[in-house]
Amino acid sequence: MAVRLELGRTFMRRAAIYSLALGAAYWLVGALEMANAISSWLVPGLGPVLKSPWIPPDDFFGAFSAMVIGAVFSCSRGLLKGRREDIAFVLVGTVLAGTFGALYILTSLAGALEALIAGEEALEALIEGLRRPEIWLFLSSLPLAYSSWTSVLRREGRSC
Amino acid sequence: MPIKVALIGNPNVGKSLIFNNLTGGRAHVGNWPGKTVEKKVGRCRHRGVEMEIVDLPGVYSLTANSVDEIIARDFIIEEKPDVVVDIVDATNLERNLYLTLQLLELGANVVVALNKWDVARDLGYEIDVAALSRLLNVPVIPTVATTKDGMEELKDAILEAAKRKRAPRPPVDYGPELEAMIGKLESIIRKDPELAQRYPVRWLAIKALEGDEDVLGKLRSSRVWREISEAVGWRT
Amino acid sequence: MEDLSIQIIEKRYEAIRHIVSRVLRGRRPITLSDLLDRVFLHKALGIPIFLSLLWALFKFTFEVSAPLSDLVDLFFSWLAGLAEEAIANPRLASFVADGLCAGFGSVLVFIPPIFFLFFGLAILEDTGYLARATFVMDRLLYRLGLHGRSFIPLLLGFGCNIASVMAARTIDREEDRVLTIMVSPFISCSARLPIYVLIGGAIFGAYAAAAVFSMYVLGIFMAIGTALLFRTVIPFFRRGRGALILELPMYARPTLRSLLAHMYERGVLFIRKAGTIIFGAMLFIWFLATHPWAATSGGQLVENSYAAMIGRALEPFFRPLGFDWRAVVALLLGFIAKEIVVETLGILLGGAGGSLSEAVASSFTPVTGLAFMAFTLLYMPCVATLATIYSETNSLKWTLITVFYGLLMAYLVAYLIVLAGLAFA
Repeated sequence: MAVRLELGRTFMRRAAIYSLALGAAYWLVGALEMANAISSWLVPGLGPVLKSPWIPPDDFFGAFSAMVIGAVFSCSRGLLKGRREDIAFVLVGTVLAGTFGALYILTSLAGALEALIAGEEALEALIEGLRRPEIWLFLSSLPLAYSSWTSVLRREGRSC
Repeated sequence: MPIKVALIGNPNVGKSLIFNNLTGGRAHVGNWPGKTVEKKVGRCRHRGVEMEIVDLPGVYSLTANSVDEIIARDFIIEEKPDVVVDIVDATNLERNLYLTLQLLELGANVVVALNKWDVARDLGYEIDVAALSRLLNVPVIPTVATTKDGMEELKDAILEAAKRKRAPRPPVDYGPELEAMIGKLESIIRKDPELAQRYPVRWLAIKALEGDEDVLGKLRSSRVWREISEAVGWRT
Repeated sequence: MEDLSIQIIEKRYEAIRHIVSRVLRGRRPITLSDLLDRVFLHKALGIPIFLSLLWALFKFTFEVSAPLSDLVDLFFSWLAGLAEEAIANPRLASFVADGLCAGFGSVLVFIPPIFFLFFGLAILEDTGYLARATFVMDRLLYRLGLHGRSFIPLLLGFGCNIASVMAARTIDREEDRVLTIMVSPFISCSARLPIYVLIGGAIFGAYAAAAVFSMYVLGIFMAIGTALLFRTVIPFFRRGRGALILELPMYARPTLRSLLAHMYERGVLFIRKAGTIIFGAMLFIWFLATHPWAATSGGQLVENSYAAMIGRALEPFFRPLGFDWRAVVALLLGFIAKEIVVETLGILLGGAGGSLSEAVASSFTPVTGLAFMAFTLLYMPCVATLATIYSETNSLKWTLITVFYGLLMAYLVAYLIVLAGLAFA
């Protein structure tokens, strides 16, 4: 599907700033999660260094994924230099953010269901699951996703 | 007696979707005998005629190099389907036509389904369907499998083709040198009635010159093998 | 002759170019696919993006389907309990509860993850992303004797080997598909983890994590080694390993209809073929573990069952490895599902007084413990996986080779560990 790459300078600048901010946020979250993962896994007996309900105690791959999303968003700085094709990084960044956001929401629901089955507090489990930062970052990326994708797609169609 | 129809095409051209459109999604799924490749067979009824539709593996050509190609090729040669529907991706004509040519050389009764017609149009391509049909000497039906556009026309074309069943005109002229060698091999091969009846002779000749292992194997067990290898000057 | 075939192919392309020039008009502007590929095929970002998405698939398959598996498990346990109470004849009760219910349960519990897996794979495939992933991982895998497309199936093996074997369907060339399937049982699945944790924890104490990690690494090495070995030695696998010719389809929005169709098609095949075999095997092993009926007091005393007799009979073979008859029985029953190894050890070793850990610590030394862990890793896939291998390869030959090769490797490696232990002692 043909694509409209005539993006205005203001649009590109705004998208870049929004995208870089998200990128920084994902990097931060990733780094914090990674700190916990490293301390839990590699140092015997230490456990997670950051004991916060908002940061999972030993999710190495989750941390890695957050950093990857951060990296993708960060590459959109080319937009500031006028490189239109770099909108691709914003597009893919929002896709990845969406994928993981949806994933963590689903796992929270699954966790709540499991608790329900085991006869434990489902609501608590759900709230605990929803404390995952990536879910909230995903929600905050939605406006960027909407504006970047709509401005790029010239025509609607099933395949591209 | 249902008409035997085979579906073939490059991977990712929408073959499965067309198969589902034709058979209504009901198919018998299994494996090709002795292989790990999926085999799907379904039925379709159009204007009172029964069709049995076999989904061949997605392949780029019909060499002897991979199991998928061998399965597809053997099916066409041994089972001799009444019609072979070649699904061509309209957005990638050059590459898809390679398989089409090989099918024609194999003597298959081809109907071309020119799929992803909508995408080609979106990309800015314009394809002269009539000219393509004329140049290939087979019916060409534009289709959009995702919206089922062209399915009725395709079924009509299949029935038409099954009725006519003519021998296709050789699509490729290999130039005077090669054609001479092909001709020579053809006349040698014709001396073996078993080979000549079972396989298309020109196809055997071309494949032999190409060095196709499977064909060479078939020729080796024939009584004219020595003549063949002498004519071309090979070591056996 | 090479020359001739090249000429022939060139003539064909000439003919095609002639046709296309008369038939096709129009230019190709930049597409969304081109844009997206800048990122997905990016030299630095490509692989990390892939690894994250793979992780997401993994999490989706196992965590999100977990409550459904729980429900299945619960249902069959409840049914089994009901059977035990309601059926007067103890043997029939045991047959229904421990045979039928456990049998059905063990098959159906796999259905949620399998269906979720295929759904997730269908998304990756239909959007066109899977082709990019394969491309991105291929170069590395080629050097390891594997095909680019083997990567995802093998990685899924860390969750469950069945997922590996079934995901191999996405590999189009038979030689590569079969090799991937044969190599996947060496990937340490999640069912083996309880075994590692139990033995590692009981014997190695603070170094338990290292012992467990070493099993994962061992599995990976064995997988790669086997791939390289088979490629060089077995002619079937040597056949033309062409370079990865990959067509990158355009990205597309998948339709729910086609996703569900893919998921259903492949999932149902699994249930039908593997299901009947798994179920049959379970009943057979139930029989072995609970008979002779009187001797085992209705299945309570496993020591007196046929299974135990077989274990004792096989013990001499395993003595060089330091396993006693109970470990052998556990391994034997582990054939059903590797999780059962822990259960069986629990029944045979434990009982009153003292924890299972202590009992394990007293039955295994660090060396024999490690050897046992290695053995359970390698010795042959569980019956469910084996059934899937059979139904996917459609070949008794390859399935048997998997079994014997696994047993052989398991024994060798375990023995080497014991020897190494003696050398260092």
